[in-house]
Amino acid sequence: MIILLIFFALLLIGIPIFMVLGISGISYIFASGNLPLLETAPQRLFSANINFSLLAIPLFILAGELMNHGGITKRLIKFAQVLVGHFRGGLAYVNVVTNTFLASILGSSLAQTAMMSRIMVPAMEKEGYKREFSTATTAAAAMMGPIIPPSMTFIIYSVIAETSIGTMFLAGIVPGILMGISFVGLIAYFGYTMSFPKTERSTFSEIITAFVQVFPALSVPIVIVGGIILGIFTATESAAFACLIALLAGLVFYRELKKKELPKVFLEAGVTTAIVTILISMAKLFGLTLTFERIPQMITEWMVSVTDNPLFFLLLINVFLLLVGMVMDGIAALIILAPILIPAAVTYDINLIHFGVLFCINIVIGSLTPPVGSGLFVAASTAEVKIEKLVRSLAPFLVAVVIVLLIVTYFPELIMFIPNLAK
Amino acid sequence: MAVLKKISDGIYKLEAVVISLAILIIFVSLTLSVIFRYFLDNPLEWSSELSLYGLAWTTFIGASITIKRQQSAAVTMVYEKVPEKVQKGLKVFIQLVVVCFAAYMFYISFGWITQPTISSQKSLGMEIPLFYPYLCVPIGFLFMTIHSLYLLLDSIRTSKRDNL
Amino acid sequence: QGGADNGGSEAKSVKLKISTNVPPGHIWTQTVNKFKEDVEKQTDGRITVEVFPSSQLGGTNDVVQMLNSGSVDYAVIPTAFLTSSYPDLNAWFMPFLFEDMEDAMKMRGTDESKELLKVFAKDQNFKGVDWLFTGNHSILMKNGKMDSPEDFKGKKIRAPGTQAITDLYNALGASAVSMPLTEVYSALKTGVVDGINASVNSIASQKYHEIANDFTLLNQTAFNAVVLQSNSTNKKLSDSDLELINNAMKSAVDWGNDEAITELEENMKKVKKTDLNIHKVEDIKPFLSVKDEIYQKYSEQSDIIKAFIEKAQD
Ligand code: NA
Ligand code: NA
Repeated sequence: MIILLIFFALLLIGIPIFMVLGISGISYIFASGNLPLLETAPQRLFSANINFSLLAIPLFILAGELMNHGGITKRLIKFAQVLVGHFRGGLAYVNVVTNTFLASILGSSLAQTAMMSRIMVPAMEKEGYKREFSTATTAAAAMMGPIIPPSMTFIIYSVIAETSIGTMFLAGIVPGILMGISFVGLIAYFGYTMSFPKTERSTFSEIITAFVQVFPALSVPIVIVGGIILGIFTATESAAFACLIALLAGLVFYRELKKKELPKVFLEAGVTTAIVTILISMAKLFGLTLTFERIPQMITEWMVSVTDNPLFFLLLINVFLLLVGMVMDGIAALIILAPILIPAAVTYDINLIHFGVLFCINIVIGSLTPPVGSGLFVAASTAEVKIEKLVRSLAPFLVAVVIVLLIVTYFPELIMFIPNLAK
Repeated sequence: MAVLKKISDGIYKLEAVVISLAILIIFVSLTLSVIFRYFLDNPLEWSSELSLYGLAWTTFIGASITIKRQQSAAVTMVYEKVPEKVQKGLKVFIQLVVVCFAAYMFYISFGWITQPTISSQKSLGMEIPLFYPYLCVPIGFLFMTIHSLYLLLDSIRTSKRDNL
Repeated sequence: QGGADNGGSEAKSVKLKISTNVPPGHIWTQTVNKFKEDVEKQTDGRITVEVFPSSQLGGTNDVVQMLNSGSVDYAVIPTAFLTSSYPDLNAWFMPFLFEDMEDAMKMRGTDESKELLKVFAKDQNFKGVDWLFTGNHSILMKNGKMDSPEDFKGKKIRAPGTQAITDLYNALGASAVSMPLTEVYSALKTGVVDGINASVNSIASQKYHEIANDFTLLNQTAFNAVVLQSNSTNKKLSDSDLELINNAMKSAVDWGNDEAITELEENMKKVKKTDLNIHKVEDIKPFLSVKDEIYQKYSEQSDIIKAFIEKAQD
């Protein structure tokens, strides 16, 4: 109990989360009197990282950084523009479509939000869209980032749940596309009621030129999904190939990536990785508290005493995670909560892949719900919009994602469709 | 103070090199691993282990960089809401906690790695002494201690100066 | 605290912690559960035992460290994970040394296998106390019977990183691929690897028969775990308590190994009912030269292994 108080007090005053986890873990060891555990703490921190699946994290981050430095974002936008720009609300669709493409290359929604807000929001504003609507569209569409593979959130869930990353990746495709469809539906509705602008239809040769320009980028998802299904590599190794393509595209094809920039790109990929993996390390130390105190078992027993219906359990979990998502979000929430909730899901005989996709959709929703949401903060600060205004514009998008969440909660087949296809 | 800043900045430069190299190693060895297994039918035995040790070094040295650059994930909801004066005091307190934790972790990880029982542990694939990959833990916390000590003294100085 | 005091003058209550790397349903975890029941019953709950299955306390190196510091009392660790630090343990992975699991179990009580339990004592604060078995490893391939060395040429087979097992595959012209368990199912399904080291039990529990066609009962190596006990445990127990838990562990392991035989038979029945083609290998003559080559290498390397091989061949 005291450990929990320490935990929340340190968390709230703004101590780095990885240290909060570490301090709570160490305090527990002292409180429990099992002092020899202190000697083993560093060992535990180290081995938390010795997990082959985690290698996908630096590599997908690196691929994203290389793509970004290589000038891929603007080419993807151009491509989306020639495809869907001529509809009413054209640029809003361009935003969603570009975000879908980016989602299939990048592993995190925050990077995606930052990249897209910088370019899309000014462009949309110039064409007469309200800035908060433009920002909301961008931030919402970036939620597809961690659901459409590759996904850092999925990788971390897989590591905790001991599920296959490849299967998780395949399971994310349908829910990710459903999210995209729901956004397109919303924009169509707004476009009709608010008479959004549209641009000229592109010629066929413009479409071809734009396609050739983005081909290397679009080959990344093909290589990842194709390589996994054909058995050329595991999901982790596919990340290395995504980097290889990004490197070649940036250096040879687009020629925007400078060789002397590479060490800096590698450094930033490493630091972004460490922000996540040190959390995983410290969570392993903190996890001793949970294991020795049998917290997951207690939660499970309590859950089972409340309901024996798996569907009702999943609804409860959704509500719980949506509430948690308001005040805590992203990878940290996943790393802290997944080890506690997964054992309960197992007792209800819920497929851990299904559970994982639901968990991660909740996590991305949390990143955009007030008062605390990292996606919210990134979008608001890059686009210079007041958070209150942004939240109001975001509301319909969030409702749409919650509806998608409920649909895939009730129909696990939608999630398991593609993984089963690969059998 | 000036000396401490110099040391901390020097360490940061070293850290940047280590991290870039570690990421390069992960990238190259996993790419080679696929090429050798799938295209050359001759799987490498060392690649996954070497990349894992690269990741461990990335984690602990990278964590030290996030302290230096003050960019580790944190909950800033309360911090941003309190008056500026309280913020300054809070900042000193946060840095103090960070120094103490980093120093304590350095202390226990130094004790851990110098245990005689560590020296007999060898890695499963490359059969190298695990001592070398393990080193990233004490070194990471040592660097973290130095960075955060500088930041603590710096935050004390600024809060004193502003109060004058 | 009431309870039977088995001869000691003071009846201290003690809590023992045990770690296993396998899930609660696995025979190795059931064995330590049996130990828990017996000990708690015999001492009327004065000595309590907490079991942490599924690597809840961490991986091999974490648990080894916890044994050293005394924060766990017992651990069940697959022998294959310890061979890099204790090369003598490769003895268990000498190819074609045992016909089947029961044959390997015959080594359990021998002086030669007791020598192997002593290899930790030199530099660690724990000791080996016993061996727990599970089905011998054979070869499960996506496609293809594997009853001669030629069948192995160029094949990629997922196997534990144990040196002796890697040596066997290299000598056969195949290669041993290391891969986390979570990726094995999809890797075998898609063909990242051609086959895997597998026992009848692992096929039954991981449902590998859904994605692979041929299982060759080569029984190429034994597969077991070593039960380790922290030396710190001695210090917190009276002599009589120590004797009590040592006896309880021995009879739990007796029980566990008996159960393993029954379980293997039942899983064999289950696996036979699936579409998997099961190939029995009557004659391992084609493998003799490879086998001799490896025996010679390891016998030269270690007298303990040499004696172990000789005893097992008797
Ligand atoms: Na993605
Ligand atoms: Na939120």
